[in-house]
Amino acid sequence: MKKEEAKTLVVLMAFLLSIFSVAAAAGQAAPPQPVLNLGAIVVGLEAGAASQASSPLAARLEVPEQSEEEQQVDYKILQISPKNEWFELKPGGEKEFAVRVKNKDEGEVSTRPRIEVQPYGEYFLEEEWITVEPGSAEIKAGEEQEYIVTVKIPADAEIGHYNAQIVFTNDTMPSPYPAPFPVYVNSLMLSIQVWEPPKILIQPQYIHDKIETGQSQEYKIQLENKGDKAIAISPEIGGKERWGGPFENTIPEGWLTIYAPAKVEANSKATVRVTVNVPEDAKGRYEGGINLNIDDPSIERWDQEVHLSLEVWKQPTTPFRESFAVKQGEKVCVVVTARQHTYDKYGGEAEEKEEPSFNVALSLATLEGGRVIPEPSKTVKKGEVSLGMDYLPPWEASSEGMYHVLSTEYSETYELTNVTGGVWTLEILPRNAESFEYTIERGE
Amino acid sequence: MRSAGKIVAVIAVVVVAALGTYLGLTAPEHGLSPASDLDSCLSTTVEFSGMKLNEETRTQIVSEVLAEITPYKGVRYDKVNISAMKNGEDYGLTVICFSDACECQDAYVFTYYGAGKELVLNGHVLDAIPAAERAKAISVALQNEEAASLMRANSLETVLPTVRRVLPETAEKFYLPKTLLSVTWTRFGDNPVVVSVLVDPDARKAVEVWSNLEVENKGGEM
Repeated sequence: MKKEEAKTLVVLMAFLLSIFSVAAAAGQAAPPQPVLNLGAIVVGLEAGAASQASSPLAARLEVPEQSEEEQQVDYKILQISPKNEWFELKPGGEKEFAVRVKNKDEGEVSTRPRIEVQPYGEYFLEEEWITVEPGSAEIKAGEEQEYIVTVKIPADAEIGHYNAQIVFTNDTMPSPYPAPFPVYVNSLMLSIQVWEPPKILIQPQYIHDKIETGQSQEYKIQLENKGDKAIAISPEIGGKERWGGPFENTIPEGWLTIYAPAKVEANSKATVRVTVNVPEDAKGRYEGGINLNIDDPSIERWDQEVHLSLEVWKQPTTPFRESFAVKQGEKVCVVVTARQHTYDKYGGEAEEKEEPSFNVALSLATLEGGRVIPEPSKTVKKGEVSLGMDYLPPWEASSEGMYHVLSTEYSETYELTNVTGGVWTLEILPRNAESFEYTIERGE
Repeated sequence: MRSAGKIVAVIAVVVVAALGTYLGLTAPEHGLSPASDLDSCLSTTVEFSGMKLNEETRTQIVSEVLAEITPYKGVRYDKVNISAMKNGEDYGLTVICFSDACECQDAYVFTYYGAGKELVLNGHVLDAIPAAERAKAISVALQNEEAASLMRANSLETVLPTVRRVLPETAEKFYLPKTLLSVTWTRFGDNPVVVSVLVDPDARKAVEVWSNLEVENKGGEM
């Protein structure tokens, strides 16, 4: 019995071991995983190979043989500082910067810097624009070499973003898959923004307004040409790139009419007029834009866009109603309040907004005429002014102590004395108010 | 008497012009280079409002104020409005500076101590920034992941931000001693939300992000 149990145990163990070995061999057949190991890439799953070797009972699987080169790719790793460089230059501009290359390897490394133009991007940097000195250098183990990179942008270069790599050795990153272009290990990524100060100024670039349905409003966009040549413009509805469109509620094209000159003369100003006609059935927030299509390469595409953000509101035509009971001869006092928040006006000045107002009526079915339209006995304007840090980031602490109008509250008080008893209805029709509050006081 | 008045007036104009020239030539933006418009204050109109001051005090105040205020690089103040309120021997001054190139204004609050003839700056809010610079700063701030996330979480996308100049002495505490721009979205109300991004306009990068929500939650409160 004991012998049979031992036999069964041995067979079971052999079976389990063979399963593990097959799994390990399968792992080896998977795409090789590169492991960075002090300058050498070791390809293959060492753990899988080890378990295979130590298992005499393992089933042998045929796997494609890998050459020595494939299993272990050697290349030198240099410490390059900076690894990325970005700056702006005008056409005709020049900039020089230093790059420190340190050999952290045990052996000498031969470097020959060259320019590798990235095969993607909007504009391609020309090799002749960049020189690197010295042209080559042998860097001994543990030593450092400084290179001076000089970038010269030709005067007729186009405005835009340019990228290139400065490659110090030909070592490339091995890839188990076919790569569209080599990835150089010992390289510096250079990004250059070729720019010019814009010749044309746009004011404003963001229009935010609250507009009533059925109304129209004209907005003016001022363009100033500071250059000595006329610049053509061709404004059109659009311009979603800069502001993250498309929007949930885009301003329909039919709402907008643009009046604009064909060009802005040299050293002068021109106005683009945008008229927005809001139909009666519109409501809510609408976003849109105007693409000015300025023929000035110094202005990037998204800088030519003026964003329009409109809050369309509808003036209510039926009043809010609230009923309340009054005893005969009591006094009734109604206070209606609306608040406007003002933004970013210092020095005590408030933003100019149309003040809220209310049409108030009180009705009682048994009353002769049925309705009373009281005049306000008191109007109150109340402001909230901040002096403190509640709303300020720490770097705007300089404005602490200055007056900042946060909100203005408008209230109207209506009083009725010796009122006929019964169930009265208060009617409030607001104007220019986003919201309002009311209080009804009854008593002697 | 008439000619004496004329002489005083001429002296006042010369003093203002000289200080304006001095300011234009010596007030460096970023502490690196002189303001681009060297005649920046020569054509500045100074208006005085509020209480009536004697000519000497007024001239003194105007020259002291013009020496203290500096516009954003490439901008000149076309009009400076000084409003004075007397407080004993001293004067509280609110100075609003307008530029044709900017939609918003720079505001300064000073106290002029009459006894020592000393001008002390109490606070400033510097909004006079050209539209193109404002737009660039907003664009940089919006590209900051943290700020964008805070804005999305608090539905601030539709709020119009303020863009304010942060002077080098303040900027130094947060980044480097150079002029920076503060782009701030604020939604007022019972639970105000503020998200602000400090932007380096030269490097076109966001250097710090602040929100009042983070400050409120620092004590572990939700």
